[in-house]
Amino acid sequence: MREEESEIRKGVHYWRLESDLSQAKTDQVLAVLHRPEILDPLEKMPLSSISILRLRDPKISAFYTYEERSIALNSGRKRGVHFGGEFQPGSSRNMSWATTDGIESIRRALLHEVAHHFEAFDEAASLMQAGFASPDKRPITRYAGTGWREYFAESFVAHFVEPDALSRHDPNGSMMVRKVLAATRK
Amino acid sequence: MLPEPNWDEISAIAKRAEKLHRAGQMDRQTWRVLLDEAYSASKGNSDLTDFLAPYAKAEWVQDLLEPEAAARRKSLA
Repeated sequence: MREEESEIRKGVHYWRLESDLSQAKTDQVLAVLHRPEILDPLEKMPLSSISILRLRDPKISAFYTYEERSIALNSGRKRGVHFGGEFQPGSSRNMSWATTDGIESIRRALLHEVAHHFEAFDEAASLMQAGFASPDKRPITRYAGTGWREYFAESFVAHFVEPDALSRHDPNGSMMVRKVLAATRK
Repeated sequence: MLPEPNWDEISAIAKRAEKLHRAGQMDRQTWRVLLDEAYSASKGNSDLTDFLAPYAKAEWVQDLLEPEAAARRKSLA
């Protein structure tokens, strides 16, 4: 695959991008999606928009709007609030919390919301529900234990940023992510 | 550092949201109350409220997702 084919592109993988980060930081955030197993499904079902902006309401900082297939991320993330924790498989709060780098936290939040976008692919939701229903599951974060959607989204983030930790701590979650990624590329 | 979120409460809110949604009883006001409760249970980490997204209509969250800059422009207009 040529290099340019593995980069996210407007009009192919998403339709609109807004960001109040610098171009370099915006590119750094989007680069977390530069994986064929993410870009191929996005090409089939693009996001309508990706917004990385300082949001005014404190109650939401990362959100996937299902009706619009759009992602909003708060660029004004605060250390000690949204990130700054250690990564400890099974006991960290959530994946975007478990980093000391603010941009890395936004990258993880973007991956998490893209995982919710993948729920709409054929077979994906049933594979996610089966993964969560398994007695073998060991959620990678505390948030991953709150329901099947978050179990998948947090495992999805871990699959890309802490793959060894995910496969060691929660082989069930790792396998679920692999099955969903295979299904979304059919 | 913010205190540990109330995980039992977050799970309970998630179950309630699903139940209300299945019963066709989710509306803007109900959803907003659940969001307030989820934010409170998250102890301020608003990344932990996105589990309510599947139950929201786009129009219910439009103002919540408004950028700070746009809100400031509106208030000055």
